[in-house]
Amino acid sequence: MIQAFINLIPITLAQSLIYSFVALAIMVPFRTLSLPDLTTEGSFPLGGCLAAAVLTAGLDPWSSMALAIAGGFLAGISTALIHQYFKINSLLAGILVATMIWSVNLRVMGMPNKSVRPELTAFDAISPEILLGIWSQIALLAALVGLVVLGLIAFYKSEVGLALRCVGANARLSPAIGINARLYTTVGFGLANGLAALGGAIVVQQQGYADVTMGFGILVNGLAALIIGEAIIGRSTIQRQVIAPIVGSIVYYQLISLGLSTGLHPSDLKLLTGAFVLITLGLPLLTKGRAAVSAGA
Amino acid sequence: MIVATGLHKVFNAGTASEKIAIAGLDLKVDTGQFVAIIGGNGAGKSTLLNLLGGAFLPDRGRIDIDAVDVTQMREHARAALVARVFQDPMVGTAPTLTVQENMTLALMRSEGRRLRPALTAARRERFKQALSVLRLGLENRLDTRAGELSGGQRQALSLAMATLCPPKLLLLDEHTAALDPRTSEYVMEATVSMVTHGKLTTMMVTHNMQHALSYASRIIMMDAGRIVADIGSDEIGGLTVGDLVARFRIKDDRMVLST
Ligand SMILES: Nc1ncnc2c1ncn2[C@@H]1O[C@H](COP(=O)(O)OP(=O)(O)OP(=O)(O)O)[C@@H](O)[C@H]1O
Ligand SMILES: [Mg+2]
Repeated sequence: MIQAFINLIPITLAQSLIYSFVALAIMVPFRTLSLPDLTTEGSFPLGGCLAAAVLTAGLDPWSSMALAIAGGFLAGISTALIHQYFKINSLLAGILVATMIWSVNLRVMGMPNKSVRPELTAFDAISPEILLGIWSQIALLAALVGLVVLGLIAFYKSEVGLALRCVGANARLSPAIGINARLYTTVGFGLANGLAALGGAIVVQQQGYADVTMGFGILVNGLAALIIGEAIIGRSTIQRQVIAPIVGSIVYYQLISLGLSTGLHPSDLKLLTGAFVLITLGLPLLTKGRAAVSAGA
Repeated sequence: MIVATGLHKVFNAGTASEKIAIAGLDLKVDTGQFVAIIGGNGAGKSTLLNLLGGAFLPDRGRIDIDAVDVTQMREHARAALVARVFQDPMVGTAPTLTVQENMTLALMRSEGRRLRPALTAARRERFKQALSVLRLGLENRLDTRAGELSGGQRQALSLAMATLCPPKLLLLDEHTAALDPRTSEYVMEATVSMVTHGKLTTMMVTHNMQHALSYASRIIMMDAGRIVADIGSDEIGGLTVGDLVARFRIKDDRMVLST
């Protein structure tokens, strides 16, 4: 049993690197903007399905991924605009958008799933060898994740990024200090879901197919990954906050793989992951007592 | 010069809880003037400041700042001209950001934001200078999160942030009221020194009559959304808190008579 887990470590690692985009996409609205967003459940498959549709139609992988990111960005700003202009709770707005995206994905692909041949992918465009060896995939994915992390840290340390953090840190202060909070929230949601869509586009190229159900449960997995990562890395600095979802994703998917190899039933996973998220989010509140809960609210 | 003409602001118009907060208010404030605004609870003082700062738009009337019509300008855009210190020390700073990051945000209030590094050595020096004036040692705590500062320190930081780039109008809404008496005096003195140094046009709401008398160059009293008394600097000199209370029969349950 353990041998099965050990054999799966590299494959799980490659997967978790791709899914770390989702954990990042959850972190940005949840932690930076203090406004939780569920759009990821839709923007991740949107990126995958868009990429599959245009790749099989003959578009080059780079433009395909750019298109996927744009699609995710659009999904994110839709949620933000619905939340702000229709005064609908951000979570509900995200569910609405994610639900609508499901139909869009079916339309885009014309069928519930679509296979993508290896020679159409970005992996192949870089080197035909990559898809053949798991470690070369891991190296490439790690380099990409590293670049995104560095880029995001640099962004958070820029003037614009600092203003974005202010919007989440103090909603009353931001307009008084000249920050257009609506615009920043909208762009922040767009950015996050663009990242999630990029993750979707990459996973489709790596596994060789897209499926309209590929986003199912992705949000809770990403949230669990984020929470684990923050427990390990912390979030005291902006570097830690950006690295935490990556580390969390890597650890979380190995834990899941370990659980499955030791006899855990796959269909029980969602219950367990959900319970885990509940406990980690709820436990601090229960132990801190009522006073702390209301002060934090 | 700040000019407000015929300002009206009604809350919950057309409902049972309709409240006329500002009822046809005209006001001219000369550049460099330090105006104290006094008046009972619900007189409309905070609403006036919110209208000037752009947090609410007036139902009627017009606001000009140095001959620019800002009536319809949204709060974040108006922030290039107007800076505020709030009553609640929690509101004036971003608690999860460091002192330096908060000061950087204040710097960008008038300069705008771009995709370039926010924290630079030159800015750090500038912030150290600006904060050392407060003599609270904040200049040595640039990397401390604002949330870890005491209420008084945070309020002092808010003040430093509001005055870092001299605004055309500085709004202070009972900004020392949430502090203990000693800290309150300290922040008030820091305010006066910054306002005098920068020759800032300032409007300060206060329930502390002594503060109004000692520091302001003009005192405005509000009641029911209007200005009911306007005392210039020539008159203030001879007044005591007792005179002020007797003369305007002030019924202000939060008024602070002694210092
Ligand atoms: N956002 C709001 N919604 C509804 N009514 C409001 C709102 N803000 C103020 N009011 C009402 O407008 C009136 C003026 O309020 P304002 O806060 O300007 O008074 P104030 O002079 O600052 O009083 P205080 O000294 O208590 O701070 C009050 O009757 C208040 O209830
Ligand atoms: Mg008030």
